[in-house]
Amino acid sequence: MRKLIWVILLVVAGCASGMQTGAQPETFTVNAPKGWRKINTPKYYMITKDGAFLQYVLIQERPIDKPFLYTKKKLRPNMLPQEVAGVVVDELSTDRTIIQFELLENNPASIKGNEGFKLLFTYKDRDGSSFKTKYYGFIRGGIYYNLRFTAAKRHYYEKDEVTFDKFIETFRIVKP
Amino acid sequence: MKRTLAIIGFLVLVCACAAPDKKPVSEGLLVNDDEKALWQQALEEQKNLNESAMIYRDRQLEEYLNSVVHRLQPRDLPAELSLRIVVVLDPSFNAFAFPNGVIYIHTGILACMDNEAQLAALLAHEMSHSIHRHTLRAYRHMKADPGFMASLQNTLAQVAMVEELARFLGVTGSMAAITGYARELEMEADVSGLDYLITAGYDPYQALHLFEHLKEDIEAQQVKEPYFFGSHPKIQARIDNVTNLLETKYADIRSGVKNTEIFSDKVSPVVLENAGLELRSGRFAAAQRSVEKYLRLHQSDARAHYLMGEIFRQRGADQDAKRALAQYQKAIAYDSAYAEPHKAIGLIHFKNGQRALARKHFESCLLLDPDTPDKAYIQGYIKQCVRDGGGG
Repeated sequence: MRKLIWVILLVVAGCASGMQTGAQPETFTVNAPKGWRKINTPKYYMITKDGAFLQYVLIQERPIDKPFLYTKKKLRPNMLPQEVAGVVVDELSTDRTIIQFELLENNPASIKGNEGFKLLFTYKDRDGSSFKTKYYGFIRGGIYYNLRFTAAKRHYYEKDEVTFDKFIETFRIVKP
Repeated sequence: MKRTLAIIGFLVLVCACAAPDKKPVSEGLLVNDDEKALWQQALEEQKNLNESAMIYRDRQLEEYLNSVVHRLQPRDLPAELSLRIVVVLDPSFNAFAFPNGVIYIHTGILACMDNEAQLAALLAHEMSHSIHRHTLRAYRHMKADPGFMASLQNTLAQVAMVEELARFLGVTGSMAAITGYARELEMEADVSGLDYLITAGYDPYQALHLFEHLKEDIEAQQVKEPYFFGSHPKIQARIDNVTNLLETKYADIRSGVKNTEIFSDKVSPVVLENAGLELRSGRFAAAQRSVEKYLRLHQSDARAHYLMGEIFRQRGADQDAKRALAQYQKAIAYDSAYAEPHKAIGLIHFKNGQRALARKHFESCLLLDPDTPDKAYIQGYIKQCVRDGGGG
């Protein structure tokens, strides 16, 4: 239980780049993979199969003018995906709640027709456990969307990465 | 064992907020088991910290910093207490000392200083904590205080909010770096530190300038007073205390060594490094101040001009794109093989719809650095430039 609380704290406060969406209801639809269950968080779409401390998928939608928790940089509507990625990486690397953040990949990506970026990074939590995250982000209609898959670096990341890739294909923005 | 140490750590954190044993420790250093345990714990915490990516490694700088602290150290310093300085990559204003004499100083506070006397003032304060065995005194007070549990909840909440640094710290480091010592011990370190500073021949008024830098940072960041100099007691009380000492006990001392030039020479690489950290944190004004400070000494440094350009480009205020372009052009003028400014110029032109110019600079970037980490982005921009009629 303590671990789960920690994961949620991590998502809310740090690894999640300080997103506080406030965007209700969700402006997107997705189809959760079979066997995955939704975790009851008020502001995020979050699912897991074996428990959030082992792996989770998270989708956030936040107004771009919402401040980040750690970097004082702000997103702007006219930013290129590379610039958005730069701000997100700065937020992650200055995040006080994760340690040994290491960016493995930062590349342009198209997420269901939306021009954005893809990050791949690893980090450790305060207990020293290693995690790996695949992170997609893009801006559309004044909202910054990010879709991520985080899992324990050993075993769980490799096991569920393909599931996440297929899950992304079901993502649809329904409004605006 | 780890759990036990963590609990001890919390307990010591609690005691840091309480009044310490006011009496100096009379027995010899490392005679008793509790002090031995604290030192052992300090060694473990230092090992964790030193193996992390948070340490700024520059042998010349370390030698210089150590020479300053050695100039400050009293002649009767116990042989077991070996004063040594380690630099932490962190833009915040902080420094802390372990009981065994190892002092950690953040790049943020180093970068704001103007001269060696200010550095000496900081080191003298921190080494006072070690020399006067403040960790041990706080620890013993905690053991004698049956009411410490009442504060535990509050302290745990504090621990949950501390920075990455705290991951590597436990009993000794957390108290020194995060919560600070109790008011009496901080005051004692101020008084003692000032004495060391004056004995070594430094200008004691520079201690006040250091406080002023800290106040400026607090105001600029609009944060509550931070750990170093700030937590116990409040900064203005510390300024008043030092001012009072200078006007009374040390009234005949009007100046002293500042060593501005050698300090600037040794510390300026840290200033630029810290500017990069400040930019990452979105502290544009602080980053700009740091780069300007660096450029005053290194006018033809391409990396500094590029960083200044990045500050303007990323800040995105009115006229910033124009300012950024000027800085990038200077960077290229000083280092024609520097790829990054070309990429940045390309981005500005690309966003302005000047595709031909953008393409030219993107291609220059790839030519100069074919393996740039942004290669995929840049190739995409070039394709779009071609599609949009920005061909060469």
